[in-house]
Amino acid sequence: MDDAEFTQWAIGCQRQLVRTAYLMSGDLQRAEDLVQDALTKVALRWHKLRHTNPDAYVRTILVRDNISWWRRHRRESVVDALRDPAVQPAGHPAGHPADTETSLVVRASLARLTEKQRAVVVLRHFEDRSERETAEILGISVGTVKSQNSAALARLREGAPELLDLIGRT
Amino acid sequence: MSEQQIGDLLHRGTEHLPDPDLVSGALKGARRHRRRRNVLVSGVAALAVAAAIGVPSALSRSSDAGDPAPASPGPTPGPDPAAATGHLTAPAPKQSVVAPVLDPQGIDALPTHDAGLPQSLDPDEESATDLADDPIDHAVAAVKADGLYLDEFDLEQDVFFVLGTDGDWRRVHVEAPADLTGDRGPALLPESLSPDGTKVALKGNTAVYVVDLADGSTTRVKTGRWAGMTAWQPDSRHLLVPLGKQGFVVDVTDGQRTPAGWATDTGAGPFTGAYEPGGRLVSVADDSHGQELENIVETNGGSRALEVESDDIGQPLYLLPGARDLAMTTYPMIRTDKGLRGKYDGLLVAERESYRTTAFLPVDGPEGYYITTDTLRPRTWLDDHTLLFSLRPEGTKQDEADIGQYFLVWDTETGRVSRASHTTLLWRSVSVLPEPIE
Repeated sequence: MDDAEFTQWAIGCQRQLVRTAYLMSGDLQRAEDLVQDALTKVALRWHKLRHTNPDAYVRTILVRDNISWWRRHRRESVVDALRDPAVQPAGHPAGHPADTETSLVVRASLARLTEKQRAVVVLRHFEDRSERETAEILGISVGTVKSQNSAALARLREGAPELLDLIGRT
Repeated sequence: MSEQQIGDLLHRGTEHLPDPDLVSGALKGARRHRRRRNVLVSGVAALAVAAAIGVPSALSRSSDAGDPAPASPGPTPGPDPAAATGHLTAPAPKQSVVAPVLDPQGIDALPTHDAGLPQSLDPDEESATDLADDPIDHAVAAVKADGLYLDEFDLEQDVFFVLGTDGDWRRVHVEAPADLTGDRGPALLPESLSPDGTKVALKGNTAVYVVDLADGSTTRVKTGRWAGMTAWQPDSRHLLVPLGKQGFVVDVTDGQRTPAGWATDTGAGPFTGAYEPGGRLVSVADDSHGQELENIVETNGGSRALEVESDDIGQPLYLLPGARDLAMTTYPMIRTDKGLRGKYDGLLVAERESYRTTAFLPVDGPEGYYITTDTLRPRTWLDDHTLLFSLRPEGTKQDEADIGQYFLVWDTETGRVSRASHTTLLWRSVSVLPEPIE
């Protein structure tokens, strides 16, 4: 493996990946774990990916691993803190110095979405990916991206008044 | 709220995040993974040479050369089954192995199948006799009305029912009245019945309780907390109790414990796995370099005998290994002429020699529903290509009028699906072990 080439690519994108993973998972520690695991998988396949599209691949891994984590924890009936705005996500307690009001509101608002909706919203509006790119990363059709995005925004408008409040103050 | 405003908020909500160094950790993990893989490959190659010149060897010894030997998760099982060793990558299933989508709304129209179970798995709780008054050799089903939200039901928490080969139900009392509260989940689970049908393992909040159906006695296996999904070894004497790094295998006849080591330590995720008839534990475990990559691992007497990269067959759950094939619930990425597509949850069967998917039965419903809600899972192999599985159709209610769950039979060679049995209540946990059909 060409470590230097991989390192250069990974350093260039790791912060963006952590931000993306944080928005999807709602937890900084888990976001970092997800990114490190995803980068490991890319590193293992770098000889194949370097000439294709590692940016899309690493995001596919991020989304899939995040959904896997969520499914496995739901399966054990662990209380899903992310879905209860009153409960702070594990590993990122209230009062964490890294938290800002905007961060807390954004996280609580995204927690109202399904995992797939959240992934679509993050890829489309944070990463500014096109509908086609989003569809390829998520392994779904463009039509599904459109419908998930539309449903997600509707849910945010109806169910996340604190987000509207925040926008109103900008 | 415009899309532009959403994007701005997402940026503002994350701009305070630090820029950690994750690259060096990723590189280290990748190197460890490569080293481990090379050791496994060389071990397999050495075995092949040894076999060619007639020198007996053990893969477990050579495959452990790369990292510390894990503790044995139990006594060394019997003869090593004719299964693959080393490292494999499970390929994405081809479209050609995908069966027609099963529509849960059409189950009632399916043909019936005699799988050795009664058409209804609902015991008559009033007329059932006590096990002590009417003993049985072994059970073909164990049923308990319990689970989450148990407090909403007026049910006896320390009672379950077993179905004998004579078709009659018996009532069984567990000597654990205070611990089987169902706070964390059902006490009786699909994997509760031992392979020989003589024992039932129930999960409590602080212990696992093993009821011997021969005399009705209860053995308490203290865990201190809620355990993961247990797994019986083929001898029906040793029970794997996953507890993260504290997981162990217990001999239920004398209480002796053996640490399970990494075999049940799945990091953040709960354990899912089962023993195949030859004694290997087939489970989803962290890959050998500890990066929680969630590979399928076959463990033989405590040694990592086979590691399977399973990215392309989705998220394997409820593994049910037979001697030849492995069944699971998952949502694979199907290899089609349009690229890789994952759409349906379903049951997947892979041959254990190559981990090539030989059959996939997609089930109609929202993606992720059946995996998330524990409503689709393989139950037992009726023969080497016929699988009994349970399905609770999506969208059904969670009350007395609930249509419950079906027990269906899938011929993985012909694709034919038929109906074997049914039970009503959602939280009526059911473990089945039909008599082999001659």
